Amino acid sequence: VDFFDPMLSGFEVALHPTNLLYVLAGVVIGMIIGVLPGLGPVATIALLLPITYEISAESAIILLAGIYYGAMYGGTITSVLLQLPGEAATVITTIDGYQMARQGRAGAALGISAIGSFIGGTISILGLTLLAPVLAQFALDFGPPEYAVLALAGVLLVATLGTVSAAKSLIAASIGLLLATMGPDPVLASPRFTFGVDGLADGVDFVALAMGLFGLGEILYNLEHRARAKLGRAKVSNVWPSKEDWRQSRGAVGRGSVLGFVIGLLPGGGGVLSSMAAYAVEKRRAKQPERFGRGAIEGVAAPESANNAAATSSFIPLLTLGIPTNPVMALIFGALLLQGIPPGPRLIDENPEVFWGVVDSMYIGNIFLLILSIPLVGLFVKLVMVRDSILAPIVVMVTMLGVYTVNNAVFDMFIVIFFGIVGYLMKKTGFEPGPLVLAFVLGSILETTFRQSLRIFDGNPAGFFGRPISATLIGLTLLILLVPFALARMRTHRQLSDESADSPGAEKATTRDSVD
Amino acid sequence: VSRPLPDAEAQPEDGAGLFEEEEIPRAGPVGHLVAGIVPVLLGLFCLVYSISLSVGTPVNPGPGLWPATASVLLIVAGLWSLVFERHRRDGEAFTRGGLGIGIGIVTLIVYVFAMRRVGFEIPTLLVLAFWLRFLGKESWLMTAIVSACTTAVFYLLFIVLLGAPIPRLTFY
Repeated sequence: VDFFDPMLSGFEVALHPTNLLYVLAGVVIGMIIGVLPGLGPVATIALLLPITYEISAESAIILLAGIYYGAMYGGTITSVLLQLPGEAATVITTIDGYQMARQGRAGAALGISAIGSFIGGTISILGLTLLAPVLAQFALDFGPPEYAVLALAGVLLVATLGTVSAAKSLIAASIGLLLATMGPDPVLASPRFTFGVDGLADGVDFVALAMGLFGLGEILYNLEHRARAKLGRAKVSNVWPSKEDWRQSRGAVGRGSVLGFVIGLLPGGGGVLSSMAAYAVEKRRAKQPERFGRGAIEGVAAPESANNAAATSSFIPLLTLGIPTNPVMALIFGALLLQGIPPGPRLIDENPEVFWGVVDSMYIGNIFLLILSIPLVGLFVKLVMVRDSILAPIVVMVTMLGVYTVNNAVFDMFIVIFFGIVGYLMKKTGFEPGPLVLAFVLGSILETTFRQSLRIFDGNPAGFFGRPISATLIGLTLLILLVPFALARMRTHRQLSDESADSPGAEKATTRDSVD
Repeated sequence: VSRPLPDAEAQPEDGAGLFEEEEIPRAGPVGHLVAGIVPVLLGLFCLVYSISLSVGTPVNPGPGLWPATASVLLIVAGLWSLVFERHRRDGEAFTRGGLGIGIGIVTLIVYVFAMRRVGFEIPTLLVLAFWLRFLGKESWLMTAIVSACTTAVFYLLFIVLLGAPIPRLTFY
């Protein structure tokens, strides 16, 4: 009873006409930007932060969440029809999705990805509904040392599970940690890294930083990489997958959903990583792996189920522990802070309308997406025709004016321009801005809890191992960090012993494989 | 550094870059060296600055202890990347396209100053037009339509709907 009452009253929030409108707006915007190659969910959510400031907290998060999981649906459409992934999490779908379209099975591919997305999303919301309250209850016992370990794990795991090199992600993360220290010292209030500039006295504004790195930086980078879509006209005939299609892909949908749910919980895991992992799993366990890359329906079903499941489950660490695990969650963390609601284990009890309203809105949003995605396919495909040369200036101007409205500060506009340049240069030189923004958000939590912990432990860092929960968390983190490393090591080793018999140069070649 | 997923490695993470991969050349050795050294130098600067803030003791940390820790992390990661990843060619060369981006950034800086003086309407219209016509190579007709409509929509959105106190055009 304790659990069902607030959950049901969450539906009252979610079904309120205003919020229904925000769910609908969120998923439609999400699908649109999912289709547009120049604009992803991270950039869009960053751009909309100033607007969410004007509406109520639950509506704001309902809208932003809708954009995130909506984008997972939208990105699929262009991946399948045009071999043009609108969104990073659907890149892997192009491989088999586009092949299916070329064989005249575009409808089946889109149909199965919509159904898979719906199932993956819904399984994940069920998991969120059941798991989050338990986890939040558990996290109430956490003290500063546990939070310090969690935040540190967040920073380290994001760096190693990311899509670029671990060292480069760590560099970006350390810069994020340093940027977070700008402004007054959290304990002593003495200024740090302000260099006497008035605008920096309170540190760098999160919204300006995120809009610069993700919004402007992304646009500038894409300007150079303007995607000229080779618009082949794929015909979408029958959008319902046949019985045979369903029989072939239902296992993939199930595995993808569960895998996506689990990866979404991990720091650094999100739509991108989960879709790739799900594809790899299907290919590895397939009886005829050679079908993959030639229009295997499992190659569409698994990643599409996984990216939606992950998009949803990544809300769990944020809403129960207050630890964002990927850039989108970092932005939603920022949006909650803007509203004066610190995310953490108390969120469920203190702001049940936000927690349950958002969770329950996801059930509704997924139904909207299932209903909308199929009939609107034709319309969405036309959106790809919107050229970046038209989209980019509009988005840039929205960024500039939007950031001004948050604090009515001209200084923030310069911050956006500065971080726009930084974001552009980072992408040019092979860095990802994601770990930077995430570490920026986690930085202040990490510093405060780290200093409090040291005080508790009388300055002895070994104290972190003396508390059962923090020691377990350290162990888990090390496990997650080291297992992939060990697995790769084993694989290299096996290859080495296989090949060294054949040629003397094999050893050198395999070692380089594992480095690159 | 190895990854658990071989497929993940083969895929570019950015959708738009998927087709342009061969068009933008990879950065040369000098470019990579600079990209590797800058983080280390930044880390050294931050470390020196943090120490100047006073590090304190573990029981009683000064304001500089935490930034110093982060700086050390930055230096270590930077050196790691510099030494062990020098064969990774994940940077891009700066091409002529970069010039347009530089010009675009300059227009934005001018925009901020102009907006404060004459209100946001005219600068918004002009910057949009500049980006559309000269950076985007759109036709004059398209430029006129898109920039005028966008400015009007912004006025409706930010001024009428949100009531944001953005500097506006005033008639003396």
